[in-house]
Amino acid sequence: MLPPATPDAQLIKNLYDVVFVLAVVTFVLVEVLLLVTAVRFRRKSATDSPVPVHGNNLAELGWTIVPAIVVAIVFWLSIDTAGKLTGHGSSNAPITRIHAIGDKVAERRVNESAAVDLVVEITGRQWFWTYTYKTAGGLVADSNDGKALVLPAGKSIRLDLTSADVIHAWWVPQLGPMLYVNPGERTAIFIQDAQPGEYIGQCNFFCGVRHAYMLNNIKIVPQEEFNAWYKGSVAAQETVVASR
Amino acid sequence: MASISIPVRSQDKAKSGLLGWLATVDHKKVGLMYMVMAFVFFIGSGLLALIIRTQLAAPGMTLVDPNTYNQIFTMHGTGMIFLFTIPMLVGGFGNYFLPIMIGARDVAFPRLNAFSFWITLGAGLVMSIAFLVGDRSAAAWTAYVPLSTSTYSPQSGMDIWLLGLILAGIGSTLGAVNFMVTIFTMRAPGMTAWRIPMFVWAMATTAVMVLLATPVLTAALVMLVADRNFSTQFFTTSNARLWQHMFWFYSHPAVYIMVLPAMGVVSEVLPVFSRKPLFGAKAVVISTALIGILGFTTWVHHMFVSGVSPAIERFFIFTTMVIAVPTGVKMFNWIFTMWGGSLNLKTPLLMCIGFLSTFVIGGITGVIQAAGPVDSYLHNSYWVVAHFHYVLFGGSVFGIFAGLYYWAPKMVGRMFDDKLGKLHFVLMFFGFNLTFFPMHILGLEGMPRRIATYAGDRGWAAGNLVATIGAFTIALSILVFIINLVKIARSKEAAPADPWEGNTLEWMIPSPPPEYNFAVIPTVQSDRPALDARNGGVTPAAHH
Repeated sequence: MLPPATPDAQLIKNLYDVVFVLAVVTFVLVEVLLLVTAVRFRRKSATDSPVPVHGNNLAELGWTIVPAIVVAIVFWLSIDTAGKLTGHGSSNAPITRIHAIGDKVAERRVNESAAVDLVVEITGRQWFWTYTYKTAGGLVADSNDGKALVLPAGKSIRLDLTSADVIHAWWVPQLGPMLYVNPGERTAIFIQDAQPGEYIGQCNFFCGVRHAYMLNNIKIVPQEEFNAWYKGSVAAQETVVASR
Repeated sequence: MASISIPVRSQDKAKSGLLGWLATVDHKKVGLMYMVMAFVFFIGSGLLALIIRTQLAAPGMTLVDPNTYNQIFTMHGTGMIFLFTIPMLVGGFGNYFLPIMIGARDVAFPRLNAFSFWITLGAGLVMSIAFLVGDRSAAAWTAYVPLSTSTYSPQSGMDIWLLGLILAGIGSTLGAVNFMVTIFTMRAPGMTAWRIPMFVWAMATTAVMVLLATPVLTAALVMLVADRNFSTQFFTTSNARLWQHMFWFYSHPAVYIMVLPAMGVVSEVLPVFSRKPLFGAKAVVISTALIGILGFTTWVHHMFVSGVSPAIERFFIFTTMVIAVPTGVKMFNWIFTMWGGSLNLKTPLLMCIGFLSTFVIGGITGVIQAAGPVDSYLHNSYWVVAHFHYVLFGGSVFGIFAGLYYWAPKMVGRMFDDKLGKLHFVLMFFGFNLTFFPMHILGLEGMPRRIATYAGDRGWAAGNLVATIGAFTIALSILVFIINLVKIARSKEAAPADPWEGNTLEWMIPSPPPEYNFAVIPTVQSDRPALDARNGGVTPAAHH
């Protein structure tokens, strides 16, 4: 996995690392057993007459229970990690819907998590993203020409996602979970305590002709640097608006 | 009971030549036509895969433009699933061997059977002609709404694609009814539940799954056609996930529809080539049935990041992981069938070993992905492409070739070249792993699936190049298989009725089987009637 840059991404990687170890152990066990069997029991003569073993109930019980225990461990770890991710007690909770039609529960959950430092409304479009900062100045930016979404480091940030056309997916693996960006509803994803740096994101739901080119780069900078950049960008935006 | 007196028409009275094929209702001829059709679509969809792999061999390639690329991977997936894997395993192997293995002279409804084939062929022709003349669908095989609506996919190719799938669905559903009735009502005297061959058990489970799942997809397809053409509003944006639910309610069970018959083939080949009974036969049957049932409870794991509620996610993490248990049970039973046996390492067994060693990877990566938070990283990445190819190529395709080599002498009455078969296996095994193993790493490195190209600075070039080399190695292995087919066609070495010391009824009749299969319907006295016949009576060990 790419190096995590938020505690959420770290949690996902930790879970993967544990499950991966269990997976490798299972894999090696089965493949070695298979290989040993295939080599050791080659037909030696045309008249070989092996003992016709029909089965063994104890063995059946064993290879039912042991995998069941392993799977139960993986299940428990998954649920545990999901509960620790920023959001609401599940791995996909950061994707809480805000305006899901008829879904009052989802609305309530977002209110509970209202205490964030910055909210950015993000709209996926064929084939770029637009960003509207929900703070003084209301800066509007987009991802065209490789421009990055600039965000402050070490803060609690909520990205409110929606789509203007087809389904897209928000995926910046180093910053946390992926999330579909659906037309007709808003979903939310959190970037909590991100480390400064530049991270590549890419639309990860097939969205038409230029899907491959729908990148969303993210630049995480220290708060002061962010403030200076934001002030400058808002001023530039006002100049553009005034000159119209 | 052996006196059932259906008048057995002699071989020479049957229609011969082209008309004999076009007008046939013989399950064996229908089965062969399914297989030939499926193989043609395998080659076609495989050539599309080669274009995909060539385009992705290096960053920034422009072999095809992005729109064409999207059309190509859409048709690759559609063709491989609906026109190759399902027709080959269910329509092909199912038709040819299911009736013989239960001691029947044909399926329950032979005319309906022929209809199923012709409508499936029609579906394939409709889709492939639309593809060849252009105006293609390009919304991926999943055709998610709203990308597949008339707003974002206005081309008529999208409608033709939908109509093709509706036709294929009708063919599948009718075939499932036919198989279920055949298995329930037409078994030879003495063939009690535990004497039913494993392949037939697998087909029975598959038929139930097809019958319950396919109509849901067909309904969704009809609804989408109506939305596109008659302004109905089944799939509006306020129903963002309705299509996804209906689509995956079919398409997840479809994975088992494509894998269970291949597992059935493995469960037939392993005992014969190990000279041992299947280890834990009852456990294998129960696991098959459990996979069939649990297969219907996992579809939302395709939607963990599409906005389902946390409680629903937890439920489907659980069900998805549970299904690994019966799958593991089968895996161990297969290995312990070989353990202590006398392994006849001919091509059919090698293909089965290929199945076991690669399918286990697909199974394990399935559990990894089922861990919700991990899925929120891996979903839709190349890891997933690796995972499902380990299931559907490592599983289904190796199973299909195991079946083709195993049953080829029976179907065509001639032996294949085992050396060429081994070459085919070795090339395909290494080519397959070379193609798909690096994709796990590409996914972890952040490469999304379904992208027409990528930039050089993403670090994905090496993995993609290896995958492309692997893809051409697979193509080479298929070429070896085709050479083997030609050699079989030219061969004069007649295959005996039972070249492998088989267990099941098809090995008790001539190769190829006569029309109506059995001059006298056999009476079955154990789960291995052909072994009984070789030993001159019931094997005592068969009852345990």
